[in-house]
Amino acid sequence: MSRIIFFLTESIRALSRARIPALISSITIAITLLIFSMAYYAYVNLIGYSHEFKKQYRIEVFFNPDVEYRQGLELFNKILLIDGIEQGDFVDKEDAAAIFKKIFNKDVIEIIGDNPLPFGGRFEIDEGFRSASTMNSIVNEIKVINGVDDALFSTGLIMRLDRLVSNILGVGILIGIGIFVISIILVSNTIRLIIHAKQDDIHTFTLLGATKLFIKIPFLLEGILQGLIGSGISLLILIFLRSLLFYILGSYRMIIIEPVMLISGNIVAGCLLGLFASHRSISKYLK
Amino acid sequence: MIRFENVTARYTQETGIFDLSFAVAKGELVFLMGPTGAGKSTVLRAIIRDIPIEKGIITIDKTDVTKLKQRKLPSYRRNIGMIFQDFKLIKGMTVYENISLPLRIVGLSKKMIKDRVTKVIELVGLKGKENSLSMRLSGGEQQRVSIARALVTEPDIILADEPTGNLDPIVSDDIIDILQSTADKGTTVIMSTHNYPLIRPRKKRFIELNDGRLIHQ
Repeated sequence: MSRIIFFLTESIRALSRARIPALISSITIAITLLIFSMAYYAYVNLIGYSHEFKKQYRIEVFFNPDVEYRQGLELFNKILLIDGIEQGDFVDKEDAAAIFKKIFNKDVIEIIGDNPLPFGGRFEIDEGFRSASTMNSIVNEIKVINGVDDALFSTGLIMRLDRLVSNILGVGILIGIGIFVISIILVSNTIRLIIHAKQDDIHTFTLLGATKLFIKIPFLLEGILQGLIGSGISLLILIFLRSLLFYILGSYRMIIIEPVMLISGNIVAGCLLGLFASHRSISKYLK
Repeated sequence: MIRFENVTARYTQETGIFDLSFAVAKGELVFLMGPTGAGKSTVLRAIIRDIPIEKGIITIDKTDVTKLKQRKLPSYRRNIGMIFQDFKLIKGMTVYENISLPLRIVGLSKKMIKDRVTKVIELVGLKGKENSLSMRLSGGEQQRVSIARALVTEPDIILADEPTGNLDPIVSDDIIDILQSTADKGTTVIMSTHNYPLIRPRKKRFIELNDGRLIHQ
């Protein structure tokens, strides 16, 4: 217990002695956390909207024209059992005529004198299967069923949306890693300045028989404290931006990240960033 | 016993210590004499393994110090009390905190630390200064803090590197008195100095160095 208090006192003391470099480190951490939080917020909203949109994904199935009503129902139930199909609506000849009228604004019986439209079905897809490739597999599975004439979905649109989301995710991850690495370098360089200013003390510690770990711990705690200060700054700005967003967008529907998650995420990420950076610099120094 | 056998440790081709051999018995107070650059500090730094030893053997009670592994150095150094000319006190710490530092490194309990620090503070005559910041003390007082820090772990060896270098003759004499009484209790003390008039009246053994080589012992 006395050692913990000693380490904490030492790190707080070191922070107060090197206020300017410590503040620069904390601001760098705060900027990183701000960028991360906003990027994460944008990502969550993008994913949310893409999920909303993907709920409308459907596979349309047309049975052969010679398939009777009873046989059509059997085919429909068979398709419902396929993995990835969430639920479906059976489309009988009347429904098909109604859809025809909705699309072409014409009554098929008036035009032809009969209803030649086949039975079929509209199938909704399970959440985990809402991508172009998995839907394509489902469609291929449906097409080989005896009695099915055709099965299709809007391939182009779905593929474009999938590509867009995965591209944004890929670029986002790359930028995120870049920002993380840059901020670790920036923060660890600032901490190295603090270490440099204390090199005589570190030498004295080693001559008194201190282990590397004993020397490291106050610096690691100092890094964590800088991370905490950085996350505090970041949270204050985020709370302000959140209020501003509500004010500007009003009732417009946005997915808002839970405050608990925002606060805990910022604190954990800030502490980890400070810890990594201080570990990097003190380890290099003590090598 | 501390024994040097043909020890060479150098910073450059011409500076350091060269082929040095001598021995210091347990409980002995020995002065390392010589002008600036003679290699006095290098001898002490070699004992504490603060510089690489190029050649030779340094043994302390049958342990070959030159062969100690890096990870064994901290525990080895805890048995040696080091006093520096520039005190090497931690500036932001109080007298009490500076003196207790080696005990915190060892990991003693708060009570044991308090007992030992109180005892040693009385010994070096700093009672009442416990809470003063060490950097606000006079040179003599700072050196007393440095001595107290070296004594607090009750080490087997004390190495004092020009401990009287910046101090007036009266304070210097006091400091040698403290080191003498420590040696009388069985601690081996090696003190480097270039102040011959200061140690002459003591009639103690001295080892004289010049240009890193032994001149007299």
